[in-house]
Amino acid sequence: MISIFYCFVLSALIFSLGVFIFFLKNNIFFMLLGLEVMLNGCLLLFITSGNYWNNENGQIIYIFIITASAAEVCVSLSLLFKFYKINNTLNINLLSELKK
Amino acid sequence: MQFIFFLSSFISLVSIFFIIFGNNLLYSILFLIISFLSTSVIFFLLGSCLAGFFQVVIYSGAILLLFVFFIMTIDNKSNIFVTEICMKKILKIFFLFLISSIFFIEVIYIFNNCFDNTKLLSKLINVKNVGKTLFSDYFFLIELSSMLLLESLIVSFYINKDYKKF
Repeated sequence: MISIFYCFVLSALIFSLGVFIFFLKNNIFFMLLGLEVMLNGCLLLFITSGNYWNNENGQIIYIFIITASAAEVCVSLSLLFKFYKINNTLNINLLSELKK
Repeated sequence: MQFIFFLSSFISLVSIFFIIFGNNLLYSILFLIISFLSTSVIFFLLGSCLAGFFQVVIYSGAILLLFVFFIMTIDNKSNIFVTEICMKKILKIFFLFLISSIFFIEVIYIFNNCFDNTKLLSKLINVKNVGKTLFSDYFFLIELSSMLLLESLIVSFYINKDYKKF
């Protein structure tokens, strides 16, 4: 039997590790992976709280979040592909186009 | 059951640590897939089977496969692996620890006020009820999400269009 406190702590840990990935890496690709990890922590929190009240709405929110993340990944990867074609790098510090 | 929960959570956290300290793109995606699969084990243990199936089939099977396709299109030999953690980032790491500790305090405060720790989570939620509520109460939202997917398809096609040919 699983206590609810462990699920809360696990989701908070996964979210904070995603924040670490997002801020520590120079590569845009790794920043996208950090966003995915953060979304995973949020999904675990939704599923846990939906299961606590014995309700189906947690899984329905899960489905909608997965749809939004699929759209986000599709658009952002195509943008990254265009960036890589133009600048030949994925470093976030070199991609400041507005300064020029 | 509690042992399986702790084992899968340990595997997911360790694979996320490998993403933080790794430099290769493809290995980091493989570790992310391992982390998502172990999270799906936790979903199955909590009793929400539909979320576990979707985590395996859609999230780690379809969305993360897009990252693998992206790596196949770019050149691996160029200098895209510039991700070292140097000594200048120690202040940044301290700041991140501050942010995550504030987040932990918030989560534990919400937990102490709104939730009862003595209740245990192992109730199975029926997939049939999920489908019924999805197609009765949330029908308009399903249409909106399908429109969102179509828009993302059109936008990604428009971004990568070759303007010299047209």
